[in-house]
Parts: sequence; structure tokens; C-alpha cells
Amino acid sequence: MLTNSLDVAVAERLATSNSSHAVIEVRDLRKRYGDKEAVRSIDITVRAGEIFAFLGPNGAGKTTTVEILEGFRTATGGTVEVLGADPAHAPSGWRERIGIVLQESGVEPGLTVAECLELYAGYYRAPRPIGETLDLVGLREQAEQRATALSGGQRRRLDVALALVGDPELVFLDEPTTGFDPAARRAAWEVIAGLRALGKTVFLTTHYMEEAEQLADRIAIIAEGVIVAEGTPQTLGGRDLAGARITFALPGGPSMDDLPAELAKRAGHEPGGRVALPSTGVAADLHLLSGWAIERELELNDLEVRRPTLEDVYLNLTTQGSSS
Amino acid sequence: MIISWLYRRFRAWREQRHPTTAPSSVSRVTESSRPSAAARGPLALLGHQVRFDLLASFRNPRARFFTFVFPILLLVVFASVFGNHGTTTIDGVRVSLSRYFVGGILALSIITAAYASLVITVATAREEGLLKRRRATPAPPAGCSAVRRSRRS
Repeated sequence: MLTNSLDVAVAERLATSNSSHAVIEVRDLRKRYGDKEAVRSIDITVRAGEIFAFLGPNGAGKTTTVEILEGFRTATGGTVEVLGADPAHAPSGWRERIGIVLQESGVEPGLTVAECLELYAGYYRAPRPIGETLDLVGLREQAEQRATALSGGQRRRLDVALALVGDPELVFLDEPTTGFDPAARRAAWEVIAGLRALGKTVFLTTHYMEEAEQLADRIAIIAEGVIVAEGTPQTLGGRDLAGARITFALPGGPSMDDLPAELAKRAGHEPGGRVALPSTGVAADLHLLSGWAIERELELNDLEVRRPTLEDVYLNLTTQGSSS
Repeated sequence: MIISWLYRRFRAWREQRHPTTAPSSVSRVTESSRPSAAARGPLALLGHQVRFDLLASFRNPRARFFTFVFPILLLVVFASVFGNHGTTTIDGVRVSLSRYFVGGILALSIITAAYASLVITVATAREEGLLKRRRATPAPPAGCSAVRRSRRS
């Protein structure tokens, strides 16, 4: 947990040094359902113009938190401020400034894509032009199709379009690409990255590490109702500081004991006969290893240097959380 | 079914007479510089909601059938079977059966259209998450449900 508190400290320093103001400010948020405490004191700060990814396994309190931020649920304790107002008692006009893509929502029966957008545009005082919104999500060609006739990926893009038609400052995306094929996911990522270009703040929840890594400026991981890590995709959970792993296969001749003494101490066998070498100084270790191999005219097959992926970090953190 | 066959024929005939080359609604919307319904006040918003709910309702074959075709079908059947020679006494007044059926069936169809369909559409909209999505917009929730309640009549 040391690295986590470090991450939090870094994030806080960033928060104070950064001049852009906080769009979402959550302090000591708690939510209790009967005996069960779904959210146990979490703090979140999201600044204007950033894409914030909120990760966590099912039942970790992710949806509860998001729905409190959206004003669909009330908190049991703590303070929540979204765009300068408490979502539970938001003034009129507050909803003009946020857009929500729900986890699953049906489409308006009987209306075409353009008509759906026209309907929702009418709810906002200063909507974004419909043609522009269609271009943003790439549905211009389908504008005259019935919404019910769209494919799954297209429907999701319509959901995004309906959330954007009010020209919001802050967009909530709840698992926007669940159930997509890889091509549709790429397309959706482009749409979300386009939001950043428009200067929108995005609060994204997702199950896909790759998605968070591609899109997010900052990531927070929630497990069992508490935030277990927060940071940028590069530094999350001390990922940048954690050691790498060098693996290679030794062809027939020399055994592991022939390795330079310094490496032999740390080396171990992996299933499949490969040699694994945990390393904190990759450059030095590789130098030693390759020098040794050249001396003996050996070829190091399958040489690989691997740092923990975001998924490794995530699994590590969330399973830790559930065992404690 | 004969009704749906007739309807398809009617649609084909209408398509022939007025090919759907109407200007795309996208260009119509993007070019309009009119303020949005919400900006024009609650009444305009109400009108906006009614317009789209009616449009959706007319495009729903089930709603169309039970609102327009079914009552006429009932009228024709009942009036032709019993209406010609038969009277009944209501409050001591003799009324021909065809008159009796017209009033009753009209009332029945209004009730069906206004209430039975309402229950179905609101329940479906809730199940599919449509109501939640509308709650996520600045549109007043009372307005949306009021329109749904009134539109079916």
C-alpha cells in the first residue's frame, strides 16, 4: 500500500499545481445499503478537460459512485460537488451541462436517428447542431434509418450522440464499449478521444484495461468500496517503479549455473524450461547477460523484457483488495 | 391478416403517388436557426414532446391497429350482426342496437387507446432504460410523463 499512498500524494501535488479547476470533487463519499457499505470513504478529483477512467470489478461500488455523481442516487455521507453543485440537489440548468451515456438504454421506438437527436436536442436550451453531432459519432449515413434497425455498435454511438447533443461540459460514459467487436471499439475510442479535442471532461468507467490505457489521462481503481490506486496509466500502482522480468531460453549446452554469479543468484526456471530473471536494472543486467552469451558464442532464444502491464497491476490490486 | 394486407397496399399506393424524396430531416434541422424547444419555454417543450411521441405512436403498427383499425372493425362486426333489427331498452327508452353499440364501442376504444397503451408503453420505456435516459436530460420529468399520459387519446 506504500506505493498507493505515494501515488495519491503525487496526484494531490499535481492537483494543487495544475491551474485548471476541478469539475468533480468528491470527499469522503460513503454509501450504505442496509448493512452493506458499498462505498467506504472515497476521494476523487477530476479536473477540467481530462479523461478520467474509473476501474473496478463488478460489485466494487463503481456504478453506485457514478450514479451518485450523476444525481440518480443520494450519498449516505461525505461531500460531492459536480460542476460546482451537489448532484442530489442540483439547481435547474445543471443537467444542461452534463451528458450521460448509461450502461444500457433502449432506443426510441419508431424514430429515425436524426429524429431521436432532434427530440433530445429540444430538451436543451443551447443544443449542438444535429448534423455536427452526427458527424462527431460517424452516424451521418444512418441519419434516416430507424434507430431500432441499427447494429449494436451503431446504437452505442447513438447513445453517445444523444449525450452530446446538449453540448455538455462533462460527459459520463458508463462502459461505452462493452460487447463491441475490435473494430467498433477502435471507432468508439476515436469518438472519445475526439471529446478531449473538444475540451470536454470525460468520466469513463470500463472493464477494459486497454481502453483505460489508450484513453485516460488519469485512472482510479476501486475495489470493495475503496480506491486502491490512483495515477496516470504509466505510473498506476507503482508500475513504472516495479521491476521488469527478463526471460530467455538457453540452448542445450550450458546450464543456469554457468551464468555470471550475479545473475545466477536471481535466476529461476519458468515452466517450459525458460529462464526468468527479475530485474530492477534492466540495462546493466542485459549488458552482463549478452556479454556472457557472446563470450560463449550462444544465441539467447526468445529474449524478452517485460514490465507489468496495466492488467497485471489491476488484477494484483483488485484481488489484494478482496482478500484483505 | 386482411387488415395488414390492406395497409401494405395502401402504403404502396401512397409511395407511388408521393415518392419519399422529401428533404432529409438532417439538413432541415441543421439549417434551422430557431431556438430549441426548451429555450422557447415550457409550452413549446410540451409541443415538442407531443409531436415526437405522436410520430412514434403512429409508426408503431400495434398502436395504429388498436387505435384506429380495431374499433372500426368492432363497429362493423357488431352493427352488421345485431344492428339491423333489434332494439334494447335503456332507462325505459327504446334504442336501436346499432346506436347502442356505436356509443359503447367508441368509449371502449378511447379507454383502450388512452390507458391500456399507456401502461404498455410506459412499462416498456422503463424496462429499456428510456425513462432513465430522459431523466438524465434537463427536461422536467413531470412533463414527459404527462405527455405520455395524454398523447394516447
